[in-house]
Amino acid sequence: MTPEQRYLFDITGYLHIEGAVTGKDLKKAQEAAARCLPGGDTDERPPGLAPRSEEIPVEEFKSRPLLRYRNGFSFDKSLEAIIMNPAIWPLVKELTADMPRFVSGTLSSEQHNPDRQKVEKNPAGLHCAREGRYWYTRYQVKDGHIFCNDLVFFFYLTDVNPGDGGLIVIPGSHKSQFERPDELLIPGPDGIDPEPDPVFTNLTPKAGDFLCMSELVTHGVLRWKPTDRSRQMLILRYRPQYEGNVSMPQEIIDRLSPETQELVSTASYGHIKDIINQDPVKLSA
Amino acid sequence: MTPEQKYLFDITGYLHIEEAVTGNELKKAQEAATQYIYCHPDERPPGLKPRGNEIPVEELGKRSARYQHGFAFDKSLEAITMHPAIWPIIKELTTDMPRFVSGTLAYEWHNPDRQKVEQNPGGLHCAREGRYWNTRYQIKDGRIFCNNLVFFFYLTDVNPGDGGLIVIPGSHKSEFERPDDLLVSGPNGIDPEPDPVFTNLTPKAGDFLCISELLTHGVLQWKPTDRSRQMLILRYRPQYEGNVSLPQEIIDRLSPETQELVSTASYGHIKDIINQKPITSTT
Repeated sequence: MTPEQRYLFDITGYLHIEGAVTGKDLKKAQEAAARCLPGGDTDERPPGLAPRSEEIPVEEFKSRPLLRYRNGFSFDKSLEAIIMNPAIWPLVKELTADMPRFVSGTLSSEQHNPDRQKVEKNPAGLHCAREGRYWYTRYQVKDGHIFCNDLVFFFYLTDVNPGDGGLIVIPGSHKSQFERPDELLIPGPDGIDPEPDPVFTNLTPKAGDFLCMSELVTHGVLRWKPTDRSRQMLILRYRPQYEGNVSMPQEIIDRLSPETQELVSTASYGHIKDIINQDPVKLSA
Repeated sequence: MTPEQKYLFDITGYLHIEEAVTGNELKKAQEAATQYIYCHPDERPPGLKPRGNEIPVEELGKRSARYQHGFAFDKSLEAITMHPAIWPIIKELTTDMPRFVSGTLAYEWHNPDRQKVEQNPGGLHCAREGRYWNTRYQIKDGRIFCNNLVFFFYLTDVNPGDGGLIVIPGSHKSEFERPDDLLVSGPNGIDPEPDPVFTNLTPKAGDFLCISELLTHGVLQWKPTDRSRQMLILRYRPQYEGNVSLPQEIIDRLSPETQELVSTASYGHIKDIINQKPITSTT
C-alpha cells in the first residue's frame, strides 16, 4: 500500500482504485461475465456455478433485476485472475498481515427494477458488519500497518456514472463508536432512495476499477436508475487464513489454478503462503 | 448531545448546527461585529484590537483581519459562547469541565493578491501536527471526550462556490501522517483540485460549525468580491489544562457566568454554570 492509500483507507474505510484493469484484460473479463450472465449460454456454466439461493429457469433470466452468481469468479481464468490482480494484491496482503484467505467471489448483475418496494425507514438499506457480528470484525492499526479481518473488493465490469445509483458508503463509519441512528437517512420522494445527505457518498467507479472496503464501513445501495445498462461486478471477499473454514464447494476448488487454490485454503497463524512472495501472482494453470 | 450528533461527530470529527441563532438575536450579533470591525482605534474598549499591525482608519472594513477577543466586544457576542445550541455539546465533550480559551472575530475579504502555493493548497493542518501529545479524542462509556475544540459561529452566509472552510471527514482519528501531496493545486494555484477526500462546509449566518482540532482542515480562497466572511472562532479546552490566556482587562468586561467559564479549575470541580440550562448573563 502507498502512504496515500493507507491514509485514505484509514480515515474513510474504503479505497477507490481507478483504471486497475484495462484493455484486453478488461475486455476478456467483461466477455466472460457476459457469457455467464443473462443472455449468455447457461449450458456453459460448469458444476457448482449457480445463482445464489436458487436455480433460475432460463426463461426467467432476463426478467430478474438482480442476479448473483455464487463463485462467478471461477467461470473463466480472466475473472479468476482478478482476485490477485497487481492493483489489489499489495492491499490484500497488507490488510491481512500477509495471511489472506479468499472467501468468495460472486458475480453480480443488477438491472433497473421498476417494482422495487418503497421503504418506511433506512432507505438504501444501510448496514455493516458491526450489526450482528460486532465481536467478529476488526479494524486495527499497529506499527504503521492496517489490519482488517473482513474485507470486500468490488471489481466493476461496467461503468457507474453520477446519478446512476449504486453503492453508497458513510466515510469514517468503520471506526464508529456509536450505533447508527435509525433515522439517520430519510426516504426521498421515490420512497426508495434517501434524501441527499452529506453523511453518505455515492461511489461511481468505471469498468476496470476496484472499490475496496472494510465490512465495518456502513454501506448501502441506491436504486439502479439506468434502464438501458446493468451494473455488473465481482464481489470478492477476503479474511485472514486462520479464521473460519473454506466454504467453497470442492468442484469449484478443483477448477482453480494452484495459486488460487492456495489463496482459498486455510492455514495456521504465522504460516506464509507461497503466493505471498509472488508479486505479481501469475496463474500457472 | 443527541444520539445523531454523537454518531456524526464521532465518524466525521465535525458537526454543522444549522439555524442556531436567528431573528433579533442574530441581528444584534451581526451589528455588534460590524461595529467592532469599523470602530475607530481610539474608541475601541481596552484590549480589543486586530491581531498584528493596526489597520489604518481609511482601510477599516476593507482588509481581512482577526479581531482579538471579538466575543467580548458586546453582550450579544459574549452570549454566543454558551448558546443553548452548543452548550450541551461543550459540556459533554469536556466531561462537564469546560474552559473557554479565546473568541476571535474573523473578518475575511476577497484577496486578489493571495499568493499561489507550491504544495498543500488550502493550507491543510490539524493539532496532530506539532502538538501530537497535547491533543486527545477519546470515547468512554458512550461519551466523547475532546480536549481541543473549536466552534465557528457564522455571522454571514457561505454559499457553495464561495470558498471558506474545508475539512477531511474522519481525519480526527487518523493513524497515519497526511501525505504532503494529498491535494494538488488547481488552476488558480491557490485552491486544490476538487477531491472527494475533502468537504467544503457552507454554513449560513446563525449556524455553528464545531470541530475537534484533530480534524484536518484548511481554507479555500474567499471568492465573492461583494461580501465578506465573518465569524467568531471560539476555542474550548478542559478547565484543568493550561492557563487563562485572556488579559485581565477583557475578563473584567465579562459577565460572571463567562468569567467562570474562562477560569481554570481543578479536575473534578463542577462549575456553577454547568448546572444552568440555558445560561443567562446576569450583567
